[in-house]
Amino acid sequence: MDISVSRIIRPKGMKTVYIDVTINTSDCRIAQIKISGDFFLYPPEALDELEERLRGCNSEDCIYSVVDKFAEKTTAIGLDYNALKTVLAEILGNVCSR
Amino acid sequence: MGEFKIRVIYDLAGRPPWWQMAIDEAILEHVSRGSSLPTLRFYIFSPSSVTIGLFQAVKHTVRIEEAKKRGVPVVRRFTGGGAVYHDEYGELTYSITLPVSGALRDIEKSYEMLCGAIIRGLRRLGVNAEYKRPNDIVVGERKVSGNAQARRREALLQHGTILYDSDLDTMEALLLVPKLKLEHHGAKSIRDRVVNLSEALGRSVDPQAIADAITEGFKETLRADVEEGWYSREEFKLARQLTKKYLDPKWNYKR
Repeated sequence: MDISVSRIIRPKGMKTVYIDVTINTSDCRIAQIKISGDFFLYPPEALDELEERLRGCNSEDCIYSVVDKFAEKTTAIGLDYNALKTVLAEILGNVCSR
Repeated sequence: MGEFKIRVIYDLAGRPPWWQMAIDEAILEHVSRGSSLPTLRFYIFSPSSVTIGLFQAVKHTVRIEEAKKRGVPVVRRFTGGGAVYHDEYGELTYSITLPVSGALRDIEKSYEMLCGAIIRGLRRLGVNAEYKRPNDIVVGERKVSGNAQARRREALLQHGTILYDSDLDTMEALLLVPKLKLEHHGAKSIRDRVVNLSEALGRSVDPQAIADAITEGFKETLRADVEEGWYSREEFKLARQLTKKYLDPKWNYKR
């Protein structure tokens, strides 16, 4: 079964970020993810790559590792990587502990 | 004499959003190749349009049925940032395209520097505009200009909106702004969050006067000479090709 969860985050001083994620509960993996918002990201094509790499993640470690690697090679304005990975890990944890 | 020369294009007759994005992208490409001069451009969207940021989802950003009903096209920009309502009779857009060197290498500093040029221009008109990190220009606490930047190879393009007499009721009817964002700015509605130059000045102001003042702001900030010009044949040719992207639902509804 797939469960879809949407969250909006806006840490202080940051932009508005929407996270729309679908978790496949049979193996507790991220099946689909869209990250959107009014932030700035350089280079811009990196966001598609981030979403692609997050697809299939089934643990907090995987989420943290993917986002940390992404953070190293991009410059973001208004997108808080710490908030992003924390919220994603929380969504995965909540859905998979049901 | 300035340190370098900037071509200024006053294209105020009004053109559709897919063309405006295509010609901005074409100029960025040509400046990045060194085949066009650094360029400051002023333009108007006709018909009134909505542009959304590169990373925004249409469903979270625009009341799309309302836009369709009103005949307002929605186009995704190639720059980040938020959704903008470009009122044909109340909003002026500028773009500045430059080779990246010196202070412009740092992305955040470059926003501050280029927004500083806009602020100089607005102050010439008599508006006490201020920079609000990372990409806004405000009068008091209300936004009069939002700005967004793209980079390609060793060039950057920053474009932004200048509200001078925009219909804020239509803006509110078309744009979706989450409560969380408004609260962040201490506002209850879009109307609390934005201001037109005409209101800030207490008089009407026309787009050419705004463009002239902002041109002076860029001349001072960049220590540049300006020369009025027009698009090159190559820029037009590339823009015609790029127009297809900005008309394509696959691009506009990508997120």
